Amino acid sequence: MGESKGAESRACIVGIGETDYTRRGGISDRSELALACAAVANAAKDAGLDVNDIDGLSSYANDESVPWLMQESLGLPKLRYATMAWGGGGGGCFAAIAQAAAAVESGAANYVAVFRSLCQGQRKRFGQGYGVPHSPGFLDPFGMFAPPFMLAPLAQRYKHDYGIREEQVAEIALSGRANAARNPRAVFKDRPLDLETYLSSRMVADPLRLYDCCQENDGACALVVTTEERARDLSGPVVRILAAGQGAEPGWGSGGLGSHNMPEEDYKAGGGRTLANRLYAKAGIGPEDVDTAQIYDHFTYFVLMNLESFGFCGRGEAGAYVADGNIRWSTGKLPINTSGGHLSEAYIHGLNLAVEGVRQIRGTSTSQVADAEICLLANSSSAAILGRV
Amino acid sequence: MNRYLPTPSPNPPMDAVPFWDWCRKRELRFQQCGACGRHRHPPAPVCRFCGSDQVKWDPAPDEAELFSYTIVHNAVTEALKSYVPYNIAVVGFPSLQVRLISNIIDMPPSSLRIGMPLRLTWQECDDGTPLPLFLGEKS
Ligand SMILES: [Zn+2]
Repeated sequence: MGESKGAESRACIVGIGETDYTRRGGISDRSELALACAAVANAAKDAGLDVNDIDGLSSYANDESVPWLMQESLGLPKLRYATMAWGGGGGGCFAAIAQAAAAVESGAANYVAVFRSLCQGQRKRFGQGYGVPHSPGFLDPFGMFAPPFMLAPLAQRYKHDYGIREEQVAEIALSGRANAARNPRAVFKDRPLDLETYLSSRMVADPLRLYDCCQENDGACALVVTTEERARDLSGPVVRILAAGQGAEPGWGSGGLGSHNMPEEDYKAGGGRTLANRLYAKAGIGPEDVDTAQIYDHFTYFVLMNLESFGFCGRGEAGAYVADGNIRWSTGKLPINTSGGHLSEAYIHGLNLAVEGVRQIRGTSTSQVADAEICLLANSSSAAILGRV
Repeated sequence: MNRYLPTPSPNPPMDAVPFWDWCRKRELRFQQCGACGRHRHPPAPVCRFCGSDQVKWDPAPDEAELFSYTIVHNAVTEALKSYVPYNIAVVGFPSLQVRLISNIIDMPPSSLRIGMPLRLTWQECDDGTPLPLFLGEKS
């Protein structure tokens, strides 16, 4: 990436593929591996490739569809690159895209499939602490078992210090649900949500209410990444990866999923500040150039923090920013999570946000932002910026 | 005394074993760098400030404060069902610049306030290890 690379070798996304998305446990007739294979095959087909042209695989979050099993089912005779971004959470989703981009730009592989598959009815629930603890022994004895409990204190401090109001936070959930109503793939497409229902919903872990928490789902999705030169030989639309990367503030390792010992200013910031600056610099753009963003909405409050970290408003100002209508499709300055996001489309650990980002640049979203040229994909520890070729 | 929560006993990685050894003596101690004197938590093999691997275990002061918290309403295990709502506290020790995840065992959820003073107490878990827990009352 960056201007030092020739245009031919710059990374692009040329294919997207999905299975159906259901509520957790909704898919019982196919395995998690079968979903992973279907998503990769669909993405290859979308790219106009034979699935056997795929020679690289990239995933994250301790995905159990390991490359040797993928190869058993798909063939993939040319497979020569397989990697996974470390970590138990969906924080690695855009890092997996960065790994794929680095692989095609360096020549380690020609066509890398980035995928995530979930069939949570068939194994332990991801959202119940499965695979997560960063600080073993310091959380469990005190009842801190699951992601909402681990992340709620960050939201609490953020809300307290900046005077964030629940009516403001609600806009993340309401706007996502409105976008889902236009998206036939969204699990909650027929489940309208209003402010009163949001405010009267039960608390899960204070201040996180039911509608502040994402869904748990079954389903899989995938992207195919290749170079711009190879992309030109394919028939479909090409979306540039202007920048992609991972990393969080120093101390974030003992952050929300750990022992909560990061510096105070990062505690209520979500960890994405340095990453944002690095990726904007690499892409040669600023937040004012972003037309739409898909922001990791496992919990509403972290979308607010990331709107601040990625420079769309000042620190502590995201409550007012969203309440002013800025994130609403189609009239807002920065429509976000246009598929409905994790809260209302499905929670495929971030990768379905990337698929939606590709659709926005292609111009095929069900909540299409007019003339979208730049789409940010962001969470607290990995991000990517997509653009037109 | 009844336990605040029926939770698992600590199962620490090697670097955190001394923390729990001190707890067994009902002493709350944090790792302190033997070279630069700065404190750190969770325990780590090397000081992130100066790179030294010299370690001391320094007693925590009695005074702590509530840095943040949550009230958990969802019981994730059968055993927790009669314990919700319960709190999880992020307990700050400003003089050491470290925080500890714990519980405040004497306060109703509506009384918790960020910044409130806290005092250390102990409660044994299933394997007999005393857990460092906190009281919210000024005493
Ligand atoms: Zn030191």
